[in-house]
Amino acid sequence: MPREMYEIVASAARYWFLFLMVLIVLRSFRWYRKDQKQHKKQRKLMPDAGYIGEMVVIQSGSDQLAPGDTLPVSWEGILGFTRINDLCVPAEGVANKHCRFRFEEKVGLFLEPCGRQSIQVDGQEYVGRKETAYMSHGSFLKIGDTVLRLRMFSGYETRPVPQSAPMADGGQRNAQYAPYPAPTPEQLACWQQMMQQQMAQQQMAQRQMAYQQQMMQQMAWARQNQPMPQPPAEEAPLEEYDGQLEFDHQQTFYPPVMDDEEDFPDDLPEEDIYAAYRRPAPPPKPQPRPQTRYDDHYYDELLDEDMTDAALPPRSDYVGEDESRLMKKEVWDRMLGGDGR
Amino acid sequence: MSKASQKRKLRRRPDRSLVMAMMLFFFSAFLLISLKEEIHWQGVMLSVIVPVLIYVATMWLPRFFPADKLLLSIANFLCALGVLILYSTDMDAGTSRGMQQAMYYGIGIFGMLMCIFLIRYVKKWDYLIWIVGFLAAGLLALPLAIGSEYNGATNWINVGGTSLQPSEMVKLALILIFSYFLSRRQTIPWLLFGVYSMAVLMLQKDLGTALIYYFTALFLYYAWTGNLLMTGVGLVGAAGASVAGYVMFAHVKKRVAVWRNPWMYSETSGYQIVQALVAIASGGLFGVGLGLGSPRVIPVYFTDCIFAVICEQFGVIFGVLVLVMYVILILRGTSIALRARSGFHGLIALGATVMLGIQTFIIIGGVLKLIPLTGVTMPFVSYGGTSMVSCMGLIGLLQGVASVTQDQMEYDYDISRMQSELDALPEADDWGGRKGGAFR
Repeated sequence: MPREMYEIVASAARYWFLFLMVLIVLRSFRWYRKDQKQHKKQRKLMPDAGYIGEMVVIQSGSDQLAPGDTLPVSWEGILGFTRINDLCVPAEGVANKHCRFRFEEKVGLFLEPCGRQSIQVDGQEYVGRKETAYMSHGSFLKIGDTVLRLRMFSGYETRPVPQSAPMADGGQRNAQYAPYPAPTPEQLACWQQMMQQQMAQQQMAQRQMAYQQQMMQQMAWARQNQPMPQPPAEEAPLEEYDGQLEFDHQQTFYPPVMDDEEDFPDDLPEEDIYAAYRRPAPPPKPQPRPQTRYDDHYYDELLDEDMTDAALPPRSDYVGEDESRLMKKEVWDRMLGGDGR
Repeated sequence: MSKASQKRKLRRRPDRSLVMAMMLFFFSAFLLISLKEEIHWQGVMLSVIVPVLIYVATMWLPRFFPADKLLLSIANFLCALGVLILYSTDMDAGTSRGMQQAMYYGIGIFGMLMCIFLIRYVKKWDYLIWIVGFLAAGLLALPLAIGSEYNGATNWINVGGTSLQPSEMVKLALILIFSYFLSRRQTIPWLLFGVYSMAVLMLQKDLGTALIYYFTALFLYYAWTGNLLMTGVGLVGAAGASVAGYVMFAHVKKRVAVWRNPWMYSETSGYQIVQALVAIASGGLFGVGLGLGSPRVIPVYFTDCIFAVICEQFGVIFGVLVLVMYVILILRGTSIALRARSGFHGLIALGATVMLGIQTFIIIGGVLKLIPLTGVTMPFVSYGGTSMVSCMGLIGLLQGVASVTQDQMEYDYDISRMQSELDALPEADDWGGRKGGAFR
């Protein structure tokens, strides 16, 4: 194209390019606005999106919180007194920035007190940044006089976190989890629905089979030009499924492991099909020792055999200071012939 | 829904219509420029390749992972605009910066994909971040040992005949390092890295990059901690350093003097800014036309002053619209950062956005004589492979965060839908809603 011609075309084309540029900018901006609106709509439809659970107020330390109130818990943030925090707990004993929290997938809610603040998780106290804690579904958090309980949403359940003493490594306790998590109510409901569907399908298949057999019989009789024999009146109707299926809700039911390589014990009798997956009976809880007095000569045998500290019962078995004092007195009397001095 | 209405709806989809407008723009622009005086087959080829590349990068890539198409389309538009401007200005000069830039654009898309996969699939950064940190520190110091000086700054190295600017690549590492250590509340590592970076950049006399690093770090610090006092101290420190630099160094004084009155130095040190301003003015509102004007009069027109070339050829209105595109990109990046679930991801998105925003402001403000001109590139548009890969890498970081957030949103949606189906069961009352009726 000659230069003069090109200049004319290029001069005219600049309006075309400007038009296209305006179009591009307007469309981009419109798209941006549309997406923002769509996001707002999504948030309205799913108000829990972005939250992993909520803290339920069990015991309130102020008038601004009532027992039963819920505070949504985001993935990460700060718990504190003021509204600027992600988790605002306006109660006595709560600092402006009390502790940081962070959700760690498949582990739990990680808590780290700010500065020298202290928190109590399931009765265990954690003070300062060095002592970090993990919360799982159902864990209790006590700050000041306020007691909160964590309720995790579906899809964010975590394995139960063992609440042992705080560890020096900042809470690396991931290796100690139970081999299987207890099924959540949602999982149980899901399995219940699955079982119902399977039973309904079996019932439908049975009905179809019966209907087909009946039709074939009818056709066979029709071919022979003979009347169809009437079914016996006393024939029992098909068993109706009432939609009810009983599950063991007391955590004894255990889900089948979704592992193809695992051999499913087919040879078990039908009633024991879940026996292999049932959680073993928990060890018996340690029963408190009978509250006997030293007058009953409860420690006589121990004292006669061994007087070292190892032979003594743990201090947790004592009740109060008086009894330990009495025991010392008894040791004094027996071994050293103190005679009550 | 009938087929006709489905087609109408498809046509009205914002991504489709926007990409079509962009493709039409670049097809007609490259076709026009290829017909200048004689038929340039390279231009004809680019008129097909660039729109196809835009279509593939914007419409096909998101099929493999949930990406933000608007962000992709804006970045692709700006990259293609750079290719167009460089091709149109260098066609007569016999250089091949346009073709090279098109190649860098392809490499940039690859770099963007790498960053997306890095953010999407790397879950444990505990050790990786230290490796990234040490590599970045080594890379940043490399020009001091084997670097060459270019425009007063020793920030280039030659590797196998190719010039690289390590400080551009370290931008990505800086964002990752700051985001990781800030979100983990480990002050010392990020502070050490920040101080080290500033010291090395000062030794290299790379003031523009130092500015970008400093303000990005300060912004991230404020965004995470909300500590107004320390942020104020940082700002005061920057102001103090500027004053000290002005008093101590002669070249800083000269640069400020040129900024205040470039016409006094129009034949010497103010020649570049004067020519840029003249080019913008000569373009007027609608420009002189694509491929016309005299952009090559401006020194370093292909990197620092490319905005002046855009204004000269397409006009000031077009230049303002390009700025609006940057603003939309920054708004989009900010919304991605706000939607991120974890602090680490939020800081990455915010850091990438802020870095792009600051870089754009520094170069366009410099060209428009709003602030003293410093030698940084205009993101996506300026000539340069390292700059292109770095900017596309920043977009990749943003895309990675956006896709992770989108995955989490979809997970939430699936859970809510499953729960709503369970709620419809007659037995569901015993189990409660999504919030779980009973504690275990």
